[in-house]
Amino acid sequence: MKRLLVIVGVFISGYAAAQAPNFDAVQIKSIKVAQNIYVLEGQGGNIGVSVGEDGVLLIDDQFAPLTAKHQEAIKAITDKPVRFLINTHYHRDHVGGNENWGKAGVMIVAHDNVYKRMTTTQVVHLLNANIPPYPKAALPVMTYNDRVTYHINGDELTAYKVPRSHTDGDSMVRFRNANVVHTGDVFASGRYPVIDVENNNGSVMGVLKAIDELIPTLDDFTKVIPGHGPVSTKKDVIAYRKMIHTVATRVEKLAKQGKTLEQVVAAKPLREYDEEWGKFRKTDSFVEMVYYGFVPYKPK
Amino acid sequence: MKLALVFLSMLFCMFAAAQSDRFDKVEIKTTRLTQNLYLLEGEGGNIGVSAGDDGVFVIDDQFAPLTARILAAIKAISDKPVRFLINTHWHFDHTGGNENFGKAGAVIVAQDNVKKRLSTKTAIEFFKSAYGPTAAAGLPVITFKDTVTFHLNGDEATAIHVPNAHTDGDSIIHFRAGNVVHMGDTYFNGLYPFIDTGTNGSVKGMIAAADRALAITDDTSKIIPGHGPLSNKAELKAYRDMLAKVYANVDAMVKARKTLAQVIAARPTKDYDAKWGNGFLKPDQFAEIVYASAVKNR
Repeated sequence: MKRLLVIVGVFISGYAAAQAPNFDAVQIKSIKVAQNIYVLEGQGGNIGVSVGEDGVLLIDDQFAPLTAKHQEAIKAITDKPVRFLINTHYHRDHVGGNENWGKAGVMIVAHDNVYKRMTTTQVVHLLNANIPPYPKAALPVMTYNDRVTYHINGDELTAYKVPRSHTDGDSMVRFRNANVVHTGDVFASGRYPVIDVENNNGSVMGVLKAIDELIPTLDDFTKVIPGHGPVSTKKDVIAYRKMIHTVATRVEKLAKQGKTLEQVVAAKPLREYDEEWGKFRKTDSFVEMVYYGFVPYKPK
Repeated sequence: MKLALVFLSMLFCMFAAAQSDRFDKVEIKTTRLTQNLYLLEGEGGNIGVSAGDDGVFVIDDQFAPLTARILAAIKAISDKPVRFLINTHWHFDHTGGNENFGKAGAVIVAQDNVKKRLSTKTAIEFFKSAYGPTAAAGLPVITFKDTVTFHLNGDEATAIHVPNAHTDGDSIIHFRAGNVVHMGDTYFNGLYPFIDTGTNGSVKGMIAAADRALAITDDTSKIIPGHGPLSNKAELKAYRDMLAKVYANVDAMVKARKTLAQVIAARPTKDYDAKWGNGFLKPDQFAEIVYASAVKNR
């Protein structure tokens, strides 16, 4: 157990370091996904950008120190102002820029539960996070319980709540005409996802459910913007679904047999995936989050 | 055909003139309901206003010729900009100012079906009239399916979709801290309500909308009807019971295969006419609407 704690501790420090990188060095890469849709990659969750005559809509905004760089990248695409921002969930690497955008007059919208999380202190041990309430300018000004649709830029963009999966307030954003979907962190492409399992948030079975609901809405031409990882396709989502299903099935079986976390980790439930998928996130930490989808998490 | 067109256009001009005469005399009356909430009355649906540090949030906007006066009334309350406008439903006496507000920079929000109705030419069958399509600047930019909540001016204002009530896109707006509900046209205070069965309104939905509001209000709540004076829970309850009773009367006759003429002749509203029958709809007209709704529900 002690060894595991050390491992977790090392991982957490690694994660914390990753959370506070030298943002000066971060470069924003702008990728055109469709006629009016771009992805900005930098540090943190992928940013979706809708541009056109009605102005700019952003999906997520990474970290506060990057806002100026995002603004620059958007300026290179369009001279229209940023009017709307949607948060796919409450995590710091997706809402970090909110306060900057809110102060600039951008209308921030998210699911009801994102607002609830952002207005209360969130302690997440597995993510080494202790997040105090956000200042008012960073908060969504309008929240929805089910779905909202933006009728802008010649398209219909629907932000819709998906099952409790990565958190309890995840949304995906669907561009109806462009056939593009931003999945938030429910889908991480070719890598293990984070599952925020504490505080009555997400679970691996929820991720499986949300992905199973996503797949029938995709066709071979759909561009899928994951929360993390490269712009993907239905095939990538299906591969991810298989990985999630595999690990959920194996870990559930072991957990039901009464195995401890250490035993589950030692059983290597992701053995055939580790080489490829473990490059971005350590397997053991992912298995831990999967495990606590079947066994209630208790802070140590 | 040409003659008909000429006649129609003459009629239209007369109508337009009558309209502007009608609006010339309209004054906007402001009533303060709470610290941050106001009722504006002019011509058309009652307007709700939330004004405070975060800006101005407006519910419905009556007719286009009144926008300047409505904005002046808002200016007298607050020097903050109108950031958001919500439409309780698609009808012209609640959305007529949309294009003006949209051009002035307000983000227009409504239930999904409001956008659908405003985007095309839509008839109100009962009045044999048709409207729209609304200009792009007057269309809702963000629409919702079930609820949206505005976190503004120290309050939480939730727009709750009430299905198939006055139309198929109605919302009631609940200000939790202010303890105020704007009912849109699911509530006519002191007069028989119009129910637009042609765009999928129904008496049952109207009753359900009233029940929804009764469940979230108390004796100190202020209730803004779509039409009629500011109201309260006891009055809303009386209205709800009137709707339920008239519907039961008419539905029993529909079940017995009575015709519309027979239903009207039976005066199913007679117990209520003294209180509710002196407004916009006469008792026979209201009975006809209730009949249409009961038939549709069969």
